[in-house]
Amino acid sequence: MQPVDDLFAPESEPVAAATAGYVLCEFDGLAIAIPQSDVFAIEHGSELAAPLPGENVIGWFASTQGPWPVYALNRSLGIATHLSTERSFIVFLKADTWPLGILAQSVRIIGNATELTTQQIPGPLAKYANGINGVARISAKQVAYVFEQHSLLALLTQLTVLPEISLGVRYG
Amino acid sequence: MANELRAWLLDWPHQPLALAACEVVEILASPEIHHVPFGPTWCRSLVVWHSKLLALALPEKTSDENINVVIVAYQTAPLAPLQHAAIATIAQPLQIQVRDGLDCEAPADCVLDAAAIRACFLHDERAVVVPELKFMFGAEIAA
Repeated sequence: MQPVDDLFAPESEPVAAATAGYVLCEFDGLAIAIPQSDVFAIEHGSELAAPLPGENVIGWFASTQGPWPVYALNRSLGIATHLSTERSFIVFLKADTWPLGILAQSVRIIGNATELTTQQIPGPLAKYANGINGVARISAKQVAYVFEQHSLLALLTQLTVLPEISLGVRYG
Repeated sequence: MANELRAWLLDWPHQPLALAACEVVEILASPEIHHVPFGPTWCRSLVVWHSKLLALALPEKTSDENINVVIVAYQTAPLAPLQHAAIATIAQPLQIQVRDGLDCEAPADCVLDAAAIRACFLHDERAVVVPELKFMFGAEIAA
């Protein structure tokens, strides 16, 4: 699958229209919407290298540029250390050093942001929303938690200690 | 002559509540409820009302089968636009007459923050809390 915005091929032009909407990721009955502009690539997560003891990633994706960390979120939007159901897709977020992946059971592109009717998190829940910027009803059975630009990366950074030491072991 | 006021009595799973007649907008019999993975323990749900998602005061682990949802309205300040929220009740809300002289202390185990409690009175030997909706559902005060 082609990267949404290929950071490692500066000669290629990002497609402006492809960064205007959201990527909807579903896992364990939860749905999150990530701005397309935050997404580096979407890959199949068929084979992940197992984490080393003490690492809080769910696995490592073998990219051509080296191993990229992959995380899984649980139903409380915390870090999951094991999975109860299979998740086949990895959504990689742009980050300073290497892309960070989030596992999902399904991924859908919402090309136009206006297709998602997002509203603010209502009053008493707002202070607990931890980086979630809004909520949108996507069906009678489901709402999506909407992140705005860079918010999901900020949440992941807060939830995890990024595995720099571990990557040093892998690269060194 | 004792004063009496008409109020709605809500059978909220945590604690009976009473609201002024003007604060109750609508009662939903078949609400569309979405449980949310964050929020205070007494409010981790949303309900759909006129294409909007409103905060729903439904205590965690309460079954949402056969509950009623009461849509309430409040203002954060005089002349401010109406805000709406929702409160889940087990039984249908009832209209009651509240007399003077029945004030009591709010229960010590009430889940609402003190600022969110306007008053409390005895009804059928139970303490009924009158919530201050703008503080109960306001972002700044929620416990």
